[in-house]
Amino acid sequence: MHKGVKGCLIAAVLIGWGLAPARGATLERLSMDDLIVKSTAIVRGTVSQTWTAYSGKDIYTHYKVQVQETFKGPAQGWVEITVPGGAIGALHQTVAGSPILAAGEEYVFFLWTSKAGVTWIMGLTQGLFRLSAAADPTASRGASGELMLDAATARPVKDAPVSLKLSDLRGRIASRLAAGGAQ
Amino acid sequence: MRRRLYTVCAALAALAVPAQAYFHYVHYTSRTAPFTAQYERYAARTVTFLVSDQGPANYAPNDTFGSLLSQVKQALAAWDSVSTSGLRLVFGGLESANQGANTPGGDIVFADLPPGLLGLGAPVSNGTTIVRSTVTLANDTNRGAGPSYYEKFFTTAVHEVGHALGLQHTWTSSAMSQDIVRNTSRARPLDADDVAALNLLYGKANWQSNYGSITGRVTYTNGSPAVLASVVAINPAGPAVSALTNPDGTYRIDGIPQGSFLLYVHPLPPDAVPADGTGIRLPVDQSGQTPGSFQPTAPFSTVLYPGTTDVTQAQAIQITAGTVVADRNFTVRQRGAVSAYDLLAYTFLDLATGSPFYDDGTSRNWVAVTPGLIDSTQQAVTVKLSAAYGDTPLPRTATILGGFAITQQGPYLRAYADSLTGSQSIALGLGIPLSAGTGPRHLVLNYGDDLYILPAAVNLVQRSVPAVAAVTANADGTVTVSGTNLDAMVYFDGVPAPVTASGAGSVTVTPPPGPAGHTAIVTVFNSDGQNSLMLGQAPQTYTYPQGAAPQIANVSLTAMGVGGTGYVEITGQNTNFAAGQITLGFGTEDIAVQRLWVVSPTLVRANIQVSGNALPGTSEISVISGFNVYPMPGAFTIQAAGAGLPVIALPIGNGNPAQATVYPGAPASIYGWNLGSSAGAVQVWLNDVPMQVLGLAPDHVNIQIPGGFPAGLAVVKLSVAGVAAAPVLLEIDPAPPAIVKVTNSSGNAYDAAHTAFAGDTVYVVVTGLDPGVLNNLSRLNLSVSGVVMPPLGVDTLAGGQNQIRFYLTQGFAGATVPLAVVVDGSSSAPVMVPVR
Repeated sequence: MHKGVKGCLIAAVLIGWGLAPARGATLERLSMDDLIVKSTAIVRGTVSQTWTAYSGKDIYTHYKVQVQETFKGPAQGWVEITVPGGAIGALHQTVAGSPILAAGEEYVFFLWTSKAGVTWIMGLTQGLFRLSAAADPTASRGASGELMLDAATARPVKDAPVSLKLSDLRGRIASRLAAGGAQ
Repeated sequence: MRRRLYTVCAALAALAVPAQAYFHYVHYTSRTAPFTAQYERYAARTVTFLVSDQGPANYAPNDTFGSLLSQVKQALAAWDSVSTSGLRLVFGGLESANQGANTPGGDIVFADLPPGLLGLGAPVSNGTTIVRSTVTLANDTNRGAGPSYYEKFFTTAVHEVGHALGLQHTWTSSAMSQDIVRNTSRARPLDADDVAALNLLYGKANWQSNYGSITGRVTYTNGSPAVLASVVAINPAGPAVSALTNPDGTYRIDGIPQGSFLLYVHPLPPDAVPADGTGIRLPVDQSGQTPGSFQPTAPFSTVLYPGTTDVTQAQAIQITAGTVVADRNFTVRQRGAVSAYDLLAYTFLDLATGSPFYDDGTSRNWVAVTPGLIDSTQQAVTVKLSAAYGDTPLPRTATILGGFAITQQGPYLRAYADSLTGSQSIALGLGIPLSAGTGPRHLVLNYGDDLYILPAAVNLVQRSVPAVAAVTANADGTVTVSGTNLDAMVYFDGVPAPVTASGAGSVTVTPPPGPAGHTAIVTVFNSDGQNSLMLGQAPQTYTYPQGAAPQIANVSLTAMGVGGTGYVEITGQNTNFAAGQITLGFGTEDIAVQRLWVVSPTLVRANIQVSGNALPGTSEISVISGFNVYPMPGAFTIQAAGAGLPVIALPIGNGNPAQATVYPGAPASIYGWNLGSSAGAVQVWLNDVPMQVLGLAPDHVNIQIPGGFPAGLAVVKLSVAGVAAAPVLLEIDPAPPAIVKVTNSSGNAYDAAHTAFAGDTVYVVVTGLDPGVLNNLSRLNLSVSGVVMPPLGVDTLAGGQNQIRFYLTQGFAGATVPLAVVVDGSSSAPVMVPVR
């Protein structure tokens, strides 16, 4: 324990977390290393098709992404990504914090495929970087407004936007994987 | 170094706007004023939530499915307890994967979610009608934060259920606040803001007559409307209630309790509506689109009404029930960014004393808590203000509303480098005024031309954190929890334990039923929001004794037709069923448990009903008793409706609708279907004793309960022309007492010469009072000319009589008015009493 108060904080009594939002999401903060190491695939691609379907009682939006570049995982021409929420007929299910991908837009995706074979974007929007139109595009994502917890302490933390050159991101991924980052 | 600070804080009519934007899911009927809001909500008045029987695959240490289920049940009960709401929430037990149902409801499921995602969920809506909600959780309670028995799990569950019901985030530290600033607890799971929000969706008729309202408009200095600005009515020592402005800047705050309130307006924090649209869902028009005019407008300086950042200049607004205070308008000044948001207020608890302290440099061992605790019996306290991320800006002044002095920038309000985070935090030394009281208090930070106000930033208490020193098993199966500062709210993991006795330094409880060998963490929760885990020390535990494994031996009813009713008996072996601690579910929202009775530790009986539009098929029966969970997948079948069969509707009530119970000597009305048209063809039996049929209407039959019929559960059988309905259960209660006399404190009966006055203690002597009332006075009330007055106490007299004492809370201008004794909602025959 500590002497005096100034300067630091013990968070022991703050640890604790419960259910996820019923209309939103609860996230766990992922570092860039987490994204690289814990993903099952990292690709650069363009959204080409979108459709919605039920899985159980819930609506999911599916995106077909044409892959231009594979940074991690098996090389493949396209990948299907599942995102919670969407609309079918008169019914809609809006999951706050869930991304909406624009057809024709280019992104870098940090992906994770479940044992059941469903491919998600890691951390909802944490693993989604939009690419600007440039010779060396900028990969960026905004800060999520959803509840985000620190993995170590379970304390709520604020998310922060991330932006870096694609060339830097490519190098970062390569060096981390070379250091033994594959999960 | 200590000091005494003195208080300088000063405390401080109908614009008919068409809508309250609030923090619901809003659909406006048009894109132009007047803005009429429609809210997404359930159309049903009863909503059942079911939990997937495929619980988490991995549990945090000591965590169990039973504990998790208990927390979900309690969270639903918190919302269900709002008396002014017409929405009833039911925990329906377990369900199998992809269970179908035609009745709207909610599901809690567990899934293999990707890294970085702990859970998600959303209702499925059809326009503005919620048809169902799903909460999906990571199937490993080690992830995120661990065991379900933390109070945080409960308060978060309350929050998520609120979302499922149609509420979005607010910024008043209520249950629906963003998690980072929430200040709710087991003792206070909902705040006034939550109750107001729920009532706006589901309030009973005239619910607003118990509350007041404030209306007005928020505009920028150029006259343009401030859209989605949050306007908050805040009682300096009480609750806060808020609303969001409409696209034309108008607002209306409903559901404000009576009292004196300050009013302020603040912009939404930046993380409420991020640019990528992933924050709160903005209002939409009838086509589901959000035009630019519905978007939140630019940040502005937070101000108190009537447009000041000086809390001493804020005007107090008196709120009275059923009235609207109008034209509380704001003109706000646009700014580039808010000065501060999402701040956390910590205080530090001395591990030696369990109390918060003022940091005078003395060496201590401590832990930090947020929301901060302040012991109002002390003289001073140190509060740390910290942004959840990054530096915390230093305000010019800081204060706590409700009598605390305003602290100026200086030695008692200063910035420092937080060695843990490397960021700037704020240290605030507060003198605690005399008679500061207890309960949540609000923080006000002044940044010159801007304010940051955090409702319920701290909790005032008047004793130390409860500490459990020992947990001792007694020979009779009870457990004594001893320690210091203990209230009578004891939990075994996430399951409450009924209290059998409490005294100085100890509470004796009956452990909730649990499996042999299970070790439960024992936690005491106090009514002031403190609990025995707050000091972060190793908790006391209780290990269940070894014994034979409990199991369900028999279920008496396993099928029923669509639209049917009936009763079921669940027989256990080695079980310990206890009233109030058991859930019986049928695995689908289409089947409702109308009422359940625990007959013995091994027998439960219940009335159930299948909805008229139920989906035929199989479903799962589940019994949850404390920690013990008994799933029975596929054990029940909904069959096609039996054409023309008579059906008894539930519940069966007194033939006199003014009486809430059915008792010997009273008529009973049995509503139902296919009852025929001839009273002579209808036969009714109670426990196989034929009853007199008083009459038949198209939808009900009236019978007479014989005067000597024994109280207790009775099986009701009904047949029409020899065709039997499925039997149901009816609880026969003791008859209401009879009034012998009503006297004043001198023993004189009230009459023309002895008139009662408001303020009198009145004595009512009765016969036939249910002895169970003596142990639960909440079952008893006095009705004087229809005005309900609670009893002060009940004395036992000779000859089977009882004397009820009550305080006459109201006069009646000399009129002679009826006085009756009401037990469980059923009234004695009245006597007439003159009351001035």
